[in-house]
Amino acid sequence: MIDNLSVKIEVGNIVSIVGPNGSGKSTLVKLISKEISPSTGEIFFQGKNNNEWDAIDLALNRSVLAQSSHLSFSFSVIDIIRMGFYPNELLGATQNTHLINKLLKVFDLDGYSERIYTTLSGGEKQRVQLARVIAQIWSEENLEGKLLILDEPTSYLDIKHQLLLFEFLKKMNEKGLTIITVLHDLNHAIMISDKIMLLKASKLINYGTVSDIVNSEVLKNVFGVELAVINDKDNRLFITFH
Amino acid sequence: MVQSKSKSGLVLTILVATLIFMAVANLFFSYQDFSLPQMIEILRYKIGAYENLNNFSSIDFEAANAFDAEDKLYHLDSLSHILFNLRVPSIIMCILVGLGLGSSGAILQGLFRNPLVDPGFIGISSGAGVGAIIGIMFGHFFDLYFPEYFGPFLISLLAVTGGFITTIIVYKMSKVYNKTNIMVMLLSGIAINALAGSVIGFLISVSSDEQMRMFTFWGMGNLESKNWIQVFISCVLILCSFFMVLKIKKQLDIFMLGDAEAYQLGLNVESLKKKIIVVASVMVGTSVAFCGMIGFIGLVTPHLIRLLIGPKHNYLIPCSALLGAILILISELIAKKINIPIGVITSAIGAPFFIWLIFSQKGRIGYSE
Repeated sequence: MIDNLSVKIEVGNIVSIVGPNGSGKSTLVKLISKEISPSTGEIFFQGKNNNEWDAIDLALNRSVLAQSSHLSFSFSVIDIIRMGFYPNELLGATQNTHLINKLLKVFDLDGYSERIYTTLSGGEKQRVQLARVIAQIWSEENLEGKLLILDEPTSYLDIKHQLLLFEFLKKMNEKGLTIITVLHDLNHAIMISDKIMLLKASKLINYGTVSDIVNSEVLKNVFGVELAVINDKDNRLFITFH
Repeated sequence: MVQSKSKSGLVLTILVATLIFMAVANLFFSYQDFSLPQMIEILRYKIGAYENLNNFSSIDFEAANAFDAEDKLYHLDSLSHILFNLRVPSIIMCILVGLGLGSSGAILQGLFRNPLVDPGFIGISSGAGVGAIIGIMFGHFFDLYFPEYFGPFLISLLAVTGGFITTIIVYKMSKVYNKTNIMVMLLSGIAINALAGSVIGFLISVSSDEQMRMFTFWGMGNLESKNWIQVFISCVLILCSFFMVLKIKKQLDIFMLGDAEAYQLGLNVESLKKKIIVVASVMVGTSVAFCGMIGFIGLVTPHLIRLLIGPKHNYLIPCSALLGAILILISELIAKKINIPIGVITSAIGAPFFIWLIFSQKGRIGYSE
């Protein structure tokens, strides 16, 4: 349950949702993505109430990476990525082989296309799912107005693939894509976000730019532990244990 | 298993060819075997393309004690009756039932996202069983209130009604916060199956020996003595459902990703679940009602097809349907030759094959834990 939350996310921003376990981050993501409906209150996307969005229109404009994805059948990696094109195919678009190859490269999945998804490691599966959700809203030129929602996208990823992911998200963001992501690692949130949303016990504690939010006192209030905020010589912020 | 279009196409072609071959084999071989010349002569008799009865050289009139023209005509009539009113409807019924069981197995395993699901899991078969035994035990009460021509369909109608009622109960029980929860559905199916089992057990314990024997044989499946009305009804119900299934094949692939993921891709998940449950219960309900319980086809065929060509539903559904029909035709041929109910044959072939499949393909199947 989320209480009394009212925020406006600017087009073209990267917003991280941060907070302790059970603070309502995933619930908020489900609400924004229309997977569940709010009991009271309203959510607007592109100026239109979420309830008024047609499922396919919405799928063409926002895509969502859920926290975990289980598959029982032996689909290949390329089958899964192609599923991302489903809403486009409904409108008569054909499969974009060039994009698939590009996504395979971006997520370091070259040579994986015929591999069986269920036999992959956790990190490899996560990369396949990321490629799928990107394929869903991909456009070569302009991504303005489109929204990518990611729930813990770095889970299972090693440091190299975390970096690849963040670099790619930044590139997509430069094309106008708005990104809302749940992150556990505060340093990731600092590195990638325009704004950070801090949640605690289903309530919004703070929403603002990185420099506004990241200070020891706010973080202690949210997480209940002493954390050190370090500013390096290039004026970059880091958070570490005290 | 990776699905390549050419391989899937090849498998589909082989299955179509095998189906035709098995259908023809069932036409020639049964309790009484026919040779090709005999078949041609019966056909000529049927369509009236003959001048003299003495032209029918390959039909053994002597063995049938038919010496004069009247007896010969009578014998030809009975042969043509066997071929066109018994054997052809039975073959069509085999194909329809196999088509229905194979494809509903594939879509129900998709619905539950579980390769071990059998059409019986959502309570269709056990509900149909309750309907059938009620029809067998209390048929004489129904006879008092329904027209006479209704009699032969009574058991089928009650079986189909029983199957629908249990499926609806299972479906209603599995609604959690207005969404169909597949795990709850599986558990509800198990509970309803157990309940139906106890009702059947109770009714059997108070039934007569003859009723018990009738129910036991109904439970083992029967594809013989199907009349054209039954074939027509099954044809309409099963084929309409089958074409519905073909229309949702792409949606089923997307559904495999999970409820939330499929929804985020623009799929109407609840509507898809309803469609699957309705078409599967129509197909399984129809075949159980007219032909009794035929086990293992719905479970084994999608499995085997997935091993051959992978899990994508565009080929999985038609191939499972065709393989289902082929397995039923093979089982029916064996069943007739050794005079044993078909359900016994399908289980006798299916179960050891399934065990072999699980053990030999463990690594290759790649099912998640």
